[in-house]
Amino acid sequence: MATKNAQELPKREQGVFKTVMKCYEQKQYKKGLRAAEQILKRHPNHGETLAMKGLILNCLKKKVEAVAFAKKGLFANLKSHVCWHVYGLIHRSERRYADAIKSYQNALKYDKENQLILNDLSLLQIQMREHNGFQETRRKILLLKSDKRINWIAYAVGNHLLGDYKKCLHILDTFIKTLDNDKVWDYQESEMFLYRNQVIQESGDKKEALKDLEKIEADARDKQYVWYTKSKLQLELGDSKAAEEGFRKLLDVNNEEASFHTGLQQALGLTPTEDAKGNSTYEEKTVKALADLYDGFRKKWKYCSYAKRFPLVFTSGEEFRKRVDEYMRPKFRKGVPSLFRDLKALYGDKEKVKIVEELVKTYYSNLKEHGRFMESDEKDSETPNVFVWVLYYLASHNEHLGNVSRALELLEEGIAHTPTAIDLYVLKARTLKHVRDFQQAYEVLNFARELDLADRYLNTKCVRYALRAGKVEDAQRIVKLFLRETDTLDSLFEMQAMWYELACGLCHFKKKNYAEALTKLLSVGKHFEDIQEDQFDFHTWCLRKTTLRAYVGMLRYQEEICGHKFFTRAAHAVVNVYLTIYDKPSKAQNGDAAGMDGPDDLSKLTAKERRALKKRQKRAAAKAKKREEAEAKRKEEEREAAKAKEGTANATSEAAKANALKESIPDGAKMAADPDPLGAAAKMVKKLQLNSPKDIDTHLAALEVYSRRGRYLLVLQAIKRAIRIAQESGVTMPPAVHFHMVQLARIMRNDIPKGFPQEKVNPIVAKILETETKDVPGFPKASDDLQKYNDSFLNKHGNTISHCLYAARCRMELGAGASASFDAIWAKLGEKASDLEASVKAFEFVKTLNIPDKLETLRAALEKRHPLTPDFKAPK
Amino acid sequence: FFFQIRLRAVVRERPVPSTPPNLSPPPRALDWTSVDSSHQPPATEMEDPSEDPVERKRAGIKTYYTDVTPNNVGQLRCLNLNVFPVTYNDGFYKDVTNEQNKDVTKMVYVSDMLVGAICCRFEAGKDKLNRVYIMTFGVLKAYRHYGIGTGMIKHLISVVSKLQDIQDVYLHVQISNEKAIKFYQRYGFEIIAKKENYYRKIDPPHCYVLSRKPGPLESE
Repeated sequence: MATKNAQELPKREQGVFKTVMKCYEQKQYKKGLRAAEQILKRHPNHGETLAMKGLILNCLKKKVEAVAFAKKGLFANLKSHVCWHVYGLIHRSERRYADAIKSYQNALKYDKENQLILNDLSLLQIQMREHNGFQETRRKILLLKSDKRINWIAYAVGNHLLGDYKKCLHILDTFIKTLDNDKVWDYQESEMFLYRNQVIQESGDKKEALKDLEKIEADARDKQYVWYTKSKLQLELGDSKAAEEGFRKLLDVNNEEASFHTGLQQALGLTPTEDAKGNSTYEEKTVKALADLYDGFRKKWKYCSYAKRFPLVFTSGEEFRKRVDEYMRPKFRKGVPSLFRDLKALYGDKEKVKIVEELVKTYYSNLKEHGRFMESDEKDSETPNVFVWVLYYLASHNEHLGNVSRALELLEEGIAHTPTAIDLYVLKARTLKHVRDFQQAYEVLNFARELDLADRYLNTKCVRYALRAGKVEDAQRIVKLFLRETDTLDSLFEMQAMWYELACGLCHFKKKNYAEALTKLLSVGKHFEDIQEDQFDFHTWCLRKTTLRAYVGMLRYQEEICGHKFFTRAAHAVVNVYLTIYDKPSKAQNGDAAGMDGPDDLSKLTAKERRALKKRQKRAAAKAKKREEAEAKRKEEEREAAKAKEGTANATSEAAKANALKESIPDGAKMAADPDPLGAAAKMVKKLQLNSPKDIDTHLAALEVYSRRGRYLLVLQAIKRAIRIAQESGVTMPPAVHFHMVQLARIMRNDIPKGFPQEKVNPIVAKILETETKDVPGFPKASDDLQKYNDSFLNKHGNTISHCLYAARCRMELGAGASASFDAIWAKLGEKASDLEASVKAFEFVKTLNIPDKLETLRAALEKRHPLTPDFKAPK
Repeated sequence: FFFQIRLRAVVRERPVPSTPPNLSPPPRALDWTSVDSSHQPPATEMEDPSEDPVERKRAGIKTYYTDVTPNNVGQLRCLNLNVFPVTYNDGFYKDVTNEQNKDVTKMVYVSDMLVGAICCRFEAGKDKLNRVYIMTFGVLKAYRHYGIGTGMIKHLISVVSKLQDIQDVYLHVQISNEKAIKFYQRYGFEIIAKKENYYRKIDPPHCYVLSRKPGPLESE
């Protein structure tokens, strides 16, 4: 270990060291490297130079060497802030933010007032949402340099994020005092004052916020925001007169903005009343007033679509009929394919559905025979294209209500009438998709696509339909239309084309290509990491530009971003893939059912054998890790060798880019070979629990994973959470919860089901389970006979097929036999088989029961119910 | 921040309103004579001329003309399959997307749906003059009697009358298709020849050759 003296360079070398620093800052890495090596020749143990060499190597993408040098430098001089800073920077570049923060903090121990390090630290802290640390760091920076606007603002934001509004306002005000009062505000100042106002609003002082807004109104740049917020605050404070005026003014600016309309309605007191169930109805008086108001608006603004559409919401009966008739006709004439989606929002009201249906049916027959909407119209007053769009609507309507065969009949008629109407084919494909005829759906959509090869929507849809039909190659061929000629499919990763990755991942999963599936699905997760990483660009930029409202909004948005449906869907799919890998693959074919059967091989083993197996797996894992490391090293060396050989030629940089891209894509094959798939699944479940705790599916996934791992307390937790969410949102408890309650009850009785770790439950755990399950509503009591308990569940919920399916599974698990299990599904099938997805699952489950006669009976019954669904076709 | 826009600009081409096309194309050097037209029998399916054009269906129909491109040629194929008794081969569809014939080959849309099309090509005639040959001319059955065919033929005549060095516009019509013959005669076409056994697969196999000299319509 070097002495302190050895860490001090002679004058000459000090100069060289400064050059090293300068070269790094100016990105002259090669030159910097040479200078560093010059110092190291004489002082091979100089810590800071070693560290700098590491940092420069890191910039040259020689990661392994970089870490080695940084470490070496750090050990040579543990008391140098440079060494710690470099160490932190390298951690940061590898996205190990927590480690980077620690390193920076160590660096600050030795150089308390280093602004560069403080700044870097604050960025990481805000990135990691360490709000306390961020506020403290920004305070230090402000104390060091209080003449910079950005430092004041950043400290204020730090306090805001901690919820200390008072302090935040105090800091902003102190800073504002230093400003020139007479200066005309530029955009940045305007944003700062608006941000200040937002903080007042968040602190809950509406009166003060309103007063402040009135004060800054004349100078603020974002007029619409000021007006809207003012009106909103006035409304909340009960000054509806002023609010009404405000909203009317806003509507004159933009009469399509729904929030202005709702604001005005509230200001006028024209809102619906809600009953206990949450159904809203408009009183007669309100309807009259609203009708007058919006009829006025329609005269005033000829093209305002809100004024045309909104009356359909509050009117009913004959009045509704008149208005919807008036509303639909021009859209049919014009050919608006989205009309059905537009009106679907009204389909919650059965009366309105009936009226619309009657009208459209009348149109349909009148147009077909006489070229007019109604008998009261002149003959041949409409052209044939109107008929096609009415027919299209009627088909959508029938499809939505489940009259698939009628919808298809209509579509055939439409295609015979105008074979070039692309939308008819698209709807036909969608209808076929809904009855699970994915092959034909794809064929029809592809036909539509070939009618207009330049249509992006059709190209995208067609890719998805191809994947659903299991045609990966076709999908790849079509999706390539979106790429440049030089690009490969990997570029889709670069483009973060998540819809494709999700669909492709699920397709591979269905085909049991688990490695490919994981590659695609984990890519989705990677994109979310990248999106979060992208925040870094904004931390300094937004503070500098003072776009604080947007910045705080962005920070809050990023915190919730992993609750996005793409992330959730991909995460659930990943969990399912790992569960399928864990379970015996041959049993995994049965989709959802897979979870229930469990791995026979594991449960048949004795405890001793299992321990041995575990040991073997551990050893295999260690070996795999070693191999992996060696592989990584070899790759790195190879890459460097290649680089050294070919220099910086353009072609290589292109190839290197492609290579780098390839390496950043998750390696599904490696993941699929994970010796501990349940552990990997559990990690995903944790992410889901963190990001979508209110989604009931999160807890259902947790049930599947934790029960296999034998983590009974976590199983109980998931059961409780699922039940609570179901209660809060007023839905029936998912049947999977019932199944897992039965399983857990068996475990508590020491009757450990198949697929669970066969060890005896830890007595402490058993004790906790016993006390805790008493509070779980509907949990089987210790005295209950589980078969009977399950039967009573079946009696209660026998009207939905998915509940019956889980009751059937319980029967199977409880040893009631295949025939009894089948009966649970079969008993009242006629009344409830309309749920196609659940029916397919039930059918797949019965397939595993090995009772061919009954399976055939079930199949025939289901085929009668869903004649177009290929799943229920008789096997050839 | 670089939000790379990587999607290739493949926007669905909206039909453009029918404005007179950009005229005065130079007379072209043509090599169409090598095409044996008897293998691709031309056809015309349109208005019922028994009805006077004045007594057309009451409602006016709004049409848009657009060019045939390799991207939307599938629609033309779909239209022709439904309108004509004969099928055209891939060579035909390659010809119609040819840049040379852009001005005399148009598709007609009504509220985003293709309802009719006129496909012509230039051929070399006498004395270095060019002939315009109407290969196909058709409107979907449900959209007939709305003046769409009339619009198409008038469009063609006005385009051709502004070109130079044109000998005539001509086409073949099956001798039994009286409606079509009357239709063309209304716009100045005359029967100049009869060809025996022109068609192979349809009966009667004979056809007339109808021709019209360039020049604007008399009535307008």
